[in-house]
Amino acid sequence: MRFFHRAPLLVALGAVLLLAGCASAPPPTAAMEQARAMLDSARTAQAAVFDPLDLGAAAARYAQAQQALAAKNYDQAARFAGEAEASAELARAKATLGRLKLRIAQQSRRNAELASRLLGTAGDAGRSPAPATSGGAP
Amino acid sequence: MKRLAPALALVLMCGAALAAPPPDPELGRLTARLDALARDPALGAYAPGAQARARDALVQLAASAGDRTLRTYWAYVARQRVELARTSAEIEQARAKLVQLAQERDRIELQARQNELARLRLELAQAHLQNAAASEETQRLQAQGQTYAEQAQQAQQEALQAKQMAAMQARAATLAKREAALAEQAIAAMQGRLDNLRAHRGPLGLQMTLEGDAFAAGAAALRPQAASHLGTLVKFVQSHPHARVLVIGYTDDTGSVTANLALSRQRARAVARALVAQGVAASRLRVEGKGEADPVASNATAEGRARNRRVAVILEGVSG
Repeated sequence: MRFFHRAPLLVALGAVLLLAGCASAPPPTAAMEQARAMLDSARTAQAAVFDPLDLGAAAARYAQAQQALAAKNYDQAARFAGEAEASAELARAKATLGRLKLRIAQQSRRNAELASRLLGTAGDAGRSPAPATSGGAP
Repeated sequence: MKRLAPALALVLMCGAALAAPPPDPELGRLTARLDALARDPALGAYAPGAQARARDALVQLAASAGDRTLRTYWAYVARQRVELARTSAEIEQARAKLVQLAQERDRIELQARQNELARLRLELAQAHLQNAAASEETQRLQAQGQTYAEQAQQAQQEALQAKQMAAMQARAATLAKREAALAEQAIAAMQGRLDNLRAHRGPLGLQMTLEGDAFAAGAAALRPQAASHLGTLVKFVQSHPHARVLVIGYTDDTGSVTANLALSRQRARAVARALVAQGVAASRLRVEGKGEADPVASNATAEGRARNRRVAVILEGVSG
């Protein structure tokens, strides 16, 4: 019950702290560093091939963060860096998923070929289903 | 509860005042999307960490409703995080799928190895079978070869025997021919002797002696070849037309005395008949059979016995 009574007070205090933060925010070195690392990680994961859209957005946000940093607009730089990191992480995940899907397709094809070969050499009983299997694979 | 009512009203008023902006459609959309992922029967259980981070971002978005800049920032981050949560869940699902595919491949390879093994066993069994058949065929051929060899050997032996038989027959023919030739020679010699008979002085008068080969063995009649060569003998008998002619037959000592006497007499008579046939007067002729008496040679040898078998034609009282 006491919490609800103090709510307006807390909101006022938060606003004061926020204003104070805006006034004296240090350069977002850590956020920039994290964004940079995540971009590198996404590129390593071949995001340029599998998710160029999100990678492009991340790169653009990172560039804006650098510009904001140069302009000593640290709050803005921190936000752009955060957005860049989020997009880069998404791009990395989509690239990883893309590569996994390729591997799944390859493995499925290989399994089908293997099964077809197995059925093909399985004697008279296995011969008739073999063409159906190989025909159904592609 | 009655005491609480004013306080509650105050709170609601404060809340209404604070949440002045209308409900954020972006927040609703992202929340719905994240909830849908959490409820997804296939993906919901995956990537709980990423889902929690997206949920945090949504809380931040909701909290930043009053600040446009912060709201824009958290809206962007929340969009990325919700999408990241879904992608992360799909990644885990894909990894599970890869593991499943690897297991499937292992199963197929195992099955392939088992099939290969079964095929090899079958091949081996067939090879054994063919081997057995081949060795059976070989044995059969060997047995057949042996039979053929035996047959060939037998044929060879038969041919050899036939050849030997032919040789023997040829030799027999040769011998027969030689025997015939010898017999012919003997006849010719006998004829020659008959043609060249010489008279010699005997105790009863001048005489000529026909040797036993003028007769066939054991027969009483003169050989035809001998009868045609009695010219010399006839000439000798007719040289003294008035002298009495004594014809005496002799044999060797083989056989019975009676039979020898009969045979010697028959032979003497045969010679006498031949002389009559050649013109000698039957009245001058007297025939005697003396058997094995008065031998001229030893009966111990074949040559001696041949000389003892003879017929003597004597001109009685003629001394030459």
